[in-house]
Amino acid sequence: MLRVEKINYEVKGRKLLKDITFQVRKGEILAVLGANGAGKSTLMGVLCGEKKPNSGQIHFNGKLLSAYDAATLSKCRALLSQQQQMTLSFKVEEIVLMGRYPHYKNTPTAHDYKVVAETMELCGVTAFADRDFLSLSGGEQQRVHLARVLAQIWDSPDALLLLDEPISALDLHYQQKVLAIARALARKGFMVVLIVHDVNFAAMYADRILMLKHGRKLFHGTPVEVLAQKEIYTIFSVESNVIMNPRTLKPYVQLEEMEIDLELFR
Amino acid sequence: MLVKSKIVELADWLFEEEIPDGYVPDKPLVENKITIHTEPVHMENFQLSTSGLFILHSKMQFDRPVQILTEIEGETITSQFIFFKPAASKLPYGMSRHNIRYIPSVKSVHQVEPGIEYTYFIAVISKEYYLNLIKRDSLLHQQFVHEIEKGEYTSFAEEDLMATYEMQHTIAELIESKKKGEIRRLHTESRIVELLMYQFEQYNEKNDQAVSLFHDEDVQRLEQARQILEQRIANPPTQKELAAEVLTSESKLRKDFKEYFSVTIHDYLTRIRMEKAKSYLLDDKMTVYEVALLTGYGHQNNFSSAFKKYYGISPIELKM
Repeated sequence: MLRVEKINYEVKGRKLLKDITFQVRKGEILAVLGANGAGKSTLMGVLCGEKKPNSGQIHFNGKLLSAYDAATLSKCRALLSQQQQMTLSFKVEEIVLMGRYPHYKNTPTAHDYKVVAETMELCGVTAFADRDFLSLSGGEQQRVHLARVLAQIWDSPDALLLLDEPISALDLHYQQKVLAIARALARKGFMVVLIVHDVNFAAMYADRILMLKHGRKLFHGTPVEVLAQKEIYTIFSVESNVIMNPRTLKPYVQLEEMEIDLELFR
Repeated sequence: MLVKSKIVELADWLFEEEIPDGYVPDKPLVENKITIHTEPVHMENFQLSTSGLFILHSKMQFDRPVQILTEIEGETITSQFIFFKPAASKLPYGMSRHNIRYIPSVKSVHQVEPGIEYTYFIAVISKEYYLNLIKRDSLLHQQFVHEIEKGEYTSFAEEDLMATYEMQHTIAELIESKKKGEIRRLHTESRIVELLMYQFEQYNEKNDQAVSLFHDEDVQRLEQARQILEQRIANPPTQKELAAEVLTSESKLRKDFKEYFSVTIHDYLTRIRMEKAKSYLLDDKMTVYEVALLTGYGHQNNFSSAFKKYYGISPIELKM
C-alpha cells in the first residue's frame, strides 16, 4: 500500500502542495486531476522521491519511502515522466533494456531479455526494436519509454507505477491501450497513480480520483462521486454536463462549448 | 433573511435585500452596481443576491467620520473582509482583516474614518445554505458548528486575520465574473466555497502549528475498520460497534476515519455497497431483488432509492 499522509511542499513560501492525504491499495488506480499548475507533477515528484516534502510522510509497503535505498526502490517503483529528453542515439531495444539496469550486474540475463520482449510487445514497439529511437514519432517514443518503465518493475509483485501524463502524445488507439495496460497491471496487484487531463479517461479507467487545485486536495472519491458539474467547474472552470452511462455505470462528462469575446482581439 | 445597511447621517438605505434562505430553482441571480457620490460619502458598490446568499463588495471613502448601520435578520453566516489604506497612497492595500461569523440577527453600527480608502467585502450566507456548502460533519469547522447550534453570535477565529493573496484573488474572480444565469450561480458558489476554505485553512494553521501525523496503531485500526465494513456490507456493524471492535472510541474513530480516508464512515459504506451493487448487476447479471439483499438494503425500494441517489439513475434504467 502507498500511504501519503499530510504532505506539505513549499517553495519560497508558496504552497505547492498543502495537506495531501490519500492511500493507494494494491489493485487500485488513482487518477489525479487538476488544471495546469495545480500541483499534479509536484505530487508525482514527491511520490517518486525526487522532491522532499516539508512535512508529512509517505509509507510504501509498510516502510517510510525515505528509508528505502535507491537500488531496492528502483525495482518496485517506476515513473514515466511527462518530459523525456533523449539526445543520444540509441536503439529502441537498448532503451527498453535500460529499465532492467536495477536487476542485473554487468550483462543482462535471458530473463531480462524475456521481460524486455514482453513489455515491447505489449506496448506495440517490437517492430521498431532495431530502429534508432530518435527516428521515431513522439507517440512511438512515448510507448518505448512506457515499455522501459514497465520492464523496470515487471517481475515485482506489488510495485508502484507512476504515470505522469502517459497518453498526451498518443493516438486514440494507444491512449486507450496504455490506460487498459495500466488497469490490467493494477488488477495484477500493482498500485497505479495516473495523471491525466481527460476527465472521461479518468472516469473510465480510474478506481479513485483525486482533484487538486492550488496544491490543495479539493475532492477525492470514486469517479461517480467527484465527477459532477460543480466539482468540474471548481477544478477546471469549464461548463459541463455529466451523464451516467446506463451500460457501464460510469459518468460521462460532456463539455459545453466555450466562446471568446472578439473584443479581446482588438 | 433580510440584510440592510445605511449611513446613519443619510436618510436613504444603501440597500435593503430580502433573500430566501433555501435554494429556489429558477430564482434568478441579481447583480447590481451602484455608485454614490454625495458629500460626505463616496461609494462604488457591487451587489449580488441569489437564494441563500448575498454578496456586497464596496469601495468607499469618506470626507468626515460617519457611522454605518448594518442590520441582518435571520440566522446567517458571514464571511467578511476589510482592506484599507491611506487614500493618498498609490500602493495596493497594505492592511486587511477578515473573519467568518455566525450572526443570529444583529444590528450594529461601525464608525469609519475620513482619508482612508476602504474596500469591504461581505458574503452573507443563510445557515441552511452554509451547511449545504460545507458539510455539517466537516472537520474544518467542527467547533464553529458546535457554537452555531447554540444560537449565539460567534466568530470563527478569535481575532481577525490578514487576507492572503489567494483570498484576494478569489474575491476578485467572484466580483469580476462576466458569466450569466445558472453558470454565474455555479461560479459564485464555487468561489465562495474556495474563499471559505482558504479562511478555514489559515485559522486552522494558526491554531495547530505542528501537523500531527497518525500513529501506526491508529492507522492499523482504521485499516481494520475499513476491512470490517468491506467484509460485512450485508450486515454492517453500527459505528459504535465498529469502534468497539477496533478498540477505540466512537468519536475518535469518526474523526480519524474522515481525516484518513477523506470520507465519513457512513458515506464509505454507501460507496462500497454501491460499487458491489454495480458489479452484481452488470457483471453477475443478478436481479435487483438479489442485489438489495446482498448489499444489506433489505427491501428493494430502499436499495433502488439509494442507488438512484448515488448513480443518478435507477437500477431498472440500466442497459445490459
